[in-house]
Amino acid sequence: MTDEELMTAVQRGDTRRLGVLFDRHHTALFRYFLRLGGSRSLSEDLTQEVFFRMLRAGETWRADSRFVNWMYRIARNVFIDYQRKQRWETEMAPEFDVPAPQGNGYEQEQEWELVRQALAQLPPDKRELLVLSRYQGMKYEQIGELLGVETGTIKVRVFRALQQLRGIYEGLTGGQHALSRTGN
Amino acid sequence: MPCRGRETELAEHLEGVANPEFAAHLAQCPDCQALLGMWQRMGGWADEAPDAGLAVRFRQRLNNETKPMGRGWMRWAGVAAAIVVSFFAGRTTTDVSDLRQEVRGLREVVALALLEQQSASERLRGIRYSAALEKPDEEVIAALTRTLRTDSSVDVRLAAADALRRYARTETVKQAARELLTENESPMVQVAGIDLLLAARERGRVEQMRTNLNLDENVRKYLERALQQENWE
Repeated sequence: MTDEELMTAVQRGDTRRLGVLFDRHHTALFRYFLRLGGSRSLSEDLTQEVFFRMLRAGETWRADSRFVNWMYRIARNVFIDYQRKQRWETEMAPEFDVPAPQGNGYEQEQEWELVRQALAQLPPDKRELLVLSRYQGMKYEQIGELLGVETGTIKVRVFRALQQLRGIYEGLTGGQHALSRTGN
Repeated sequence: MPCRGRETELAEHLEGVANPEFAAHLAQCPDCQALLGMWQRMGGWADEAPDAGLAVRFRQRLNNETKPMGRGWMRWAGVAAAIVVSFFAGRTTTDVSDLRQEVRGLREVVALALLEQQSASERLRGIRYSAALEKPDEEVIAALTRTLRTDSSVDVRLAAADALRRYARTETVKQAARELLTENESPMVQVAGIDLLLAARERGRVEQMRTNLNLDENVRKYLERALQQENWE
């Protein structure tokens, strides 16, 4: 069954199907919240909340919609509501929430950490744009649909967000990486 | 400064759109190369997976939130409410401390009664009720431990394991947690046992699991991650 068919079944009262949708999408949502700056435990909580909100707001689902877009729309609302409730920490998750080192050497670990820090310093709207396009694998057209913005505008915004990220990153590295332009 | 008018082309390049004219520009433009380098660096952030227990917790909650409230629960809630009302109505003087003590005892009675119910969803309610008690007495902890050990529903056992984390250092809870690691338990129950033992600071016992060649692959991954996370903490 497609996501759309499953969600329509949930809407009609077959709530067990929500478990299938959860299995398919919870990891992607977890990473979405994690990369927006949440800790592991917060990201898990928000991920669950998205699916229970689907249950409560089932009447807003339309069978001719694209499920993934609807899901991210709910995820954005969950995140915004969380921010309203609690002042969002601009610094990254605490150290114990950092993923375990992958064994690729200290220098690379340090580089990833700097990328995380640079992302955390981006304004939330730009960070979200880069998270959606770089990590969630969403096409600009999909992002445009999600945010209610023209695809062309999304492209320009991605460019500008990346430009700002680069500036922050170079500031964190003291310009060290500005010399090796391609980062390889 | 960035290349004016190239924003769209660079963004499309990042999405994998082939454009020979832009490719030629990129080859000689340090600014566009630097942006591409930043994009590539972002890819170094490794993917993380949520804990295996998340799916279990989700299904427990889904089960709880979608099942209609059972008559048994209504009956017990009604009994509890009636006792509370008659208890307060009979008072002519208010010794607040005594009242609190007795109401607390009453809540424990309700929690224990729910844990004995036939329906798994009502036992789950009993667990949630027990978990909400500020200072449950030994009898409640013992009932939760018994549920953890012997309940016929894996969901109920997992919920009991969650509720017992606060009391993980209690000897009876530790003993029950050790039993969860045996081979004939389901992987989800083994994962709950790992969490409980780590909460009880029984790292050595968890590490012993590594030597079990028959250990489920997902449990092994969870075990390694949990031990690593404990190192970070």
